[in-house]
Amino acid sequence: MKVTTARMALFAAVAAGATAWSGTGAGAAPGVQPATETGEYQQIIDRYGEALVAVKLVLKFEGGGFGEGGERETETVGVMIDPKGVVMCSSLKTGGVPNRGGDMPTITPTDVKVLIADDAEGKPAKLITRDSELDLAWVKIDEPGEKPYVHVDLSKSESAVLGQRLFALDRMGKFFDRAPVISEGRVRGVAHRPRELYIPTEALVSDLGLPVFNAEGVVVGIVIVQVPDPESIGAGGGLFGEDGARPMILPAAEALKATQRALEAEAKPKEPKPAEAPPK
Amino acid sequence: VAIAVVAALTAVMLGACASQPEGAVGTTGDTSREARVPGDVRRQIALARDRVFPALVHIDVVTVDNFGGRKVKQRASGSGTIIDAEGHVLTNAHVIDKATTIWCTLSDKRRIPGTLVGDDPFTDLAVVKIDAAALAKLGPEAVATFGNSDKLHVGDYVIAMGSPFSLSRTVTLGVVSNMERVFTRGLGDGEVDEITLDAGGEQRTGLFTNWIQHDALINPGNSGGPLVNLGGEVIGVNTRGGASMGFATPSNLVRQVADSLIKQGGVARSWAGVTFRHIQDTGIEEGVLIDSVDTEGPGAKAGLRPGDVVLSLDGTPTTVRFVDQIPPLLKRIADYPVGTTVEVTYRRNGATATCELVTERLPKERGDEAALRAWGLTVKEITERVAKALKLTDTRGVLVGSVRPGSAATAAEPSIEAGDIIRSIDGEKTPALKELVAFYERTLAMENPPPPENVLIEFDREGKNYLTLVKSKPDKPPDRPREVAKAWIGIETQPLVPRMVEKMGPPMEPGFRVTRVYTGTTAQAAGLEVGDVIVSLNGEKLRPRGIQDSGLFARLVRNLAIDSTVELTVLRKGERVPLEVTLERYRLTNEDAQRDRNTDFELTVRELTFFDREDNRWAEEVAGVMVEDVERAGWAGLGGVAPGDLIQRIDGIAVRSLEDYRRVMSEISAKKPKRVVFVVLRRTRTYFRFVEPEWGALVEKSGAGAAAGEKDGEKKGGERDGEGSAGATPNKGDNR
Repeated sequence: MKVTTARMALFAAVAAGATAWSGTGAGAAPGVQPATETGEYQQIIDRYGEALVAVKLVLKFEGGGFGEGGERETETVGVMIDPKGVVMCSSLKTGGVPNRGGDMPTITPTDVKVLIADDAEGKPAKLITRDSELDLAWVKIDEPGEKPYVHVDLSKSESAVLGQRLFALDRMGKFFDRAPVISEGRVRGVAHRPRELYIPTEALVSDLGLPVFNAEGVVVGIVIVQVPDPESIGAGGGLFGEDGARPMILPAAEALKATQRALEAEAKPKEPKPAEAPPK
Repeated sequence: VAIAVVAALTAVMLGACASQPEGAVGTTGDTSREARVPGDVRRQIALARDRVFPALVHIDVVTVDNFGGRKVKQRASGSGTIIDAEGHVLTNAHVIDKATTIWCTLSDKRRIPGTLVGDDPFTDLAVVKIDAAALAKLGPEAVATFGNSDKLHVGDYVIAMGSPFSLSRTVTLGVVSNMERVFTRGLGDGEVDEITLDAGGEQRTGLFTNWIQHDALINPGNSGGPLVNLGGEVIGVNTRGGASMGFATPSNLVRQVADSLIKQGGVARSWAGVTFRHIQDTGIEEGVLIDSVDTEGPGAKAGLRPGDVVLSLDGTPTTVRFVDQIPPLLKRIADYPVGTTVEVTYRRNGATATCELVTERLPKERGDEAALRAWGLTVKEITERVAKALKLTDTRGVLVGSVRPGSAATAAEPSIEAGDIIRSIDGEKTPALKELVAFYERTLAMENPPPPENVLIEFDREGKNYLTLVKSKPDKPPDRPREVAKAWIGIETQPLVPRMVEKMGPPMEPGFRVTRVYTGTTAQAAGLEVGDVIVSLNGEKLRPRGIQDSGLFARLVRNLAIDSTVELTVLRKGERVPLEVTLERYRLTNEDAQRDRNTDFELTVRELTFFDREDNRWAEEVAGVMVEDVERAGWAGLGGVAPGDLIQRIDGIAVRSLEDYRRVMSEISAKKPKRVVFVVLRRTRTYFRFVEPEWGALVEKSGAGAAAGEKDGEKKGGERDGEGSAGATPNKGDNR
C-alpha cells in the first residue's frame, strides 16, 4: 500500500508538472558569501551558463485512467554535454516514470525542443533514450548547428569529498527570462549503496538533471533523484522510501559512463530489439 | 390543481433515479398479496402483461459524445415498445440521444439492429425502426396498441413495463397520482421549471407535456418503456422519475408525435416568440400574461409586448389560471402549421386590441457539434438559445465546447478555451459550424502542398478579440524512447539476510537465493536452479544487509557489460558450485514495450515481451501483439476483445509484430470493412472475435454533414450518426 501510494504521488508530481525540483530545504538561501567569493558564481555562469538549456516537450499520457489520454506541455532545464547537441536531463522530468505498474499511464514525450540561450522557438530534438534507474535522459538536437555548442565536458570531472563546497547551476523559468542562477552548498554525506552518491546540504538548490561544480568550476556530478531498482521497489528505497525525493548528486564519472552507454546504443539502431534478441 | 413539486425531483430523469425498495401499493398494514392486489386486478394485470410483453423491446445504444476536446463513446440502455407491424419502436429521445449504434432485443431474445427514424427532444420521444421481417416472426401480438390517455383518471391502476438496469422485462404496478403534472420551480411559487434533455441545459424538453404522475416502481432503464392500463393498452411512455414517483408522457401526445416522426422524420411546430405566465395571484381575471417577448420573434413582429394579456387566439379564449394549463396553450400554438396567421386578441393598459401574428418554426435549441481532433477541440453551433445563454448579440461564429488538455489548442499561446467564440481561421470567416468544419477538413486533406504547420485562429473571449496560432498535431505520438540496454541475467533473486542465514545454520552464507530461472536463458543453460544461493560474483562476496538490498544482485549485473561472462559461486545442497554465465542484453519489459493506440477501434496494444511469454507459458514461437487497453464502448471492446488477449491474426493475416499490426490496421482503416475478425490467444486457447465497426461514426467530417444539412425535426433514419449532434444526457454510460 505504501508503495502504491508513493507511486501515485510520483505520478501526481509528474502529471502536475513540478518544474522546480528543489532540495529538501526548498527555498533555503545559500547564505551570504564573502565578497571575495562572489566571483566564483560569475565564473561558473560565464563558463557554463549557455550550456544550460531549456528542454520543452509535450508529455502524452495514455492508459492508467487517461483513456485516449491527455497531454501536458512541460519545460525542464538540461545540460548540453556534447558540442554536437546532446543534452542530458532528468528522466523523471521528461516523462520517465520508473517501475510503474498497471495502474500507471504510459507517458510519451513528443514535440521535444531545445532552447539555447535566448532562443524563443527552440530547435527540434528527440529524446533518444533514458536510464530510469539513474534518473537520466538524453535529448539530441535533430539538426545541430555548425558551431559547436557550449557544453559541460563530463570527461573532465573530479570527484567530491565530504565537506567540499559545491556550486549548482540552474535557470529560472521563462517568466524570468531563464536567468542563470547559482546556489552553493557542501557535501554533507556520501552514500555507497545503492551506488556512490554525494548528498548535498539543503542549501544547494537545483533542478534534477543539472550539473554541480566544485569551487574550481570543474563538474563533479549531476543532480538526480535515486529511484529504486525494480527488485527493491517494495523495500522502501530511494524515491518511494523514507528518503523520498531527496536530491542526490551522481558522480560525473558515473554520468559519463551512462552517457557513453546511451549514445552507444543510439549509434546502433540496427541492433535487434531486446524482445527479439535470441537467447544466448 | 397541481401542487408544486420539489425542484430536486424535477431534475431527476429515469436514468438518474435511485432504485427503490420493494413496496406495497396501497397497503393498509395487511401485506398479504390478496390484500395488496385483489384477484381480479391480478388477472387483469396478467392479461395486460400478455398483451404488451411481446411488443416490449430492450434497447442498447452506443453513443458518441463530444467532450474533453474529443469524441467519447459510451454505452447506455433503455426500453421501448413496438407500435406497428412495420417495425417502429417507440422510446425516449434521451435513450437514443447521440446513438451511433442501436440494438433492440425483442421478446424472443433476438437482438437486432435498429435505425433512428426521428426524435423529438421537445417531448423526449423517438422512433426507431427494426426489420419488419424480423418482427413478423413474433406474430401480430408483438404490436402494442395505444389507449386514450384522456380517459385515464387519478386513482386508476397502471402498469410500468420495461427492462430496468438492463434486466429482462419487468412489470410494476401503481396508481395514477396526477394527470396534469407540471414541474415547477421551488415550493408553490408557480413558475414552470425548465427541464432540459441534456446536462448542458441547451435543449428544453417537456414543453407541451402534462405528465401522468404514477407510483409504479420505475428504475434506470425503464426510460422509453410503456405505461399500460389494465386493458393492456399503452397510455403513456415512462420518461422521468424519482423518489417513488414516475412521470409518463400521455399516449395522446405520444401518438401525435410518433405519427409525425414516422411520416416526416421530425415534428414541425409553430412558435410565437413569447413566454407566458399564468394569472393566478396576479389580479388579472382572464387571459394569460405575456412574460417576455423575443426581440426578433413572431410576437415582437406582431407588436406584442411584455405585460400584454392575451385573451384569445383566433377567437378561442386563452385563459391560463394555473401553471399546469401552460403546456396545453403552448401545444395549441405549436400545433398551428408553421406560417399560420393567428389573430391575437390582447389587453394592454386596460384596452383590448387585436393583432395578426404569423407563426414561425420553433427553432432548434441545441446546436450541432463536431470534434476537431487534430486541434484538440470540440466545437458547437451557436443557436439562438445558446446565444442568449452566453449573452451573445447574435449567432455568428462557432462556440468552443471543450478542449483536450495538452492538445494543440491548449499549447497555443494564448490557448483556446471552452467558451471562446471562433470568428475566423487563416483570415477566412467562420460564421457557422459548417464553414469551420469545412476549413478543418480541407486543411487536413491537403497533400500537395502539405497542410500549413500552423493556423491563425481569431476568437472572442469575454468581449476581447484575440489571435492565436494553433499547430495541428499528429494523432499518434512517436514511439517512446526505450531504456538504455543493460546486462541482464535470467533469474530472479531474494536477499538471504544474516538473520535468515543464522536460522538456516552452516554451511549457509549470506547471498542471493535464486527464486526463478527463466526458460531459454543463458542462466538456465549455465545450470542455475531455483534454491541456489549466489554467494559471490566475479570473486566478490555478496553481503545483502536486509530487504533494502533486494535489487543489489541485479544492479551489480546491470553495471557489467552485455555479453560478458561472470563467475558465480553458488551454494547448492551444502556444496559450493562454481558457474559461469554469459550476461544477456536486458529483455524488453512490459512497461518499456512500444504501444499503439488505434482510435478507430479504441484499442491499445503493445509488443509481446519475453515476460508475457513467461507469464502465460507461451512457447517462443508464439507471436502477436498484446492487448493492453480496450475502451468499454469501443468497437473492439464491443466485439469482445479484452486486455490480456494476444492478437495473432486479423482478417486472416498473421500478426507477428507491432509493425505487422500497424500495417494491417492501416489497411483496414482504408478499406473500412463491415466486419473485422480478430483471432486472439487468451491463456491457452484461441478465440474468434467479430468486430463490426461503424465507420461512419468514426469519420470526423460527419459532424459537418449534420451541421450543414440537418434542420431541426428533419432527421431521417440512417442519416444521424451522432457526430454532429450535440448535448449530453446526465446518465451517460448507464441505464436511461
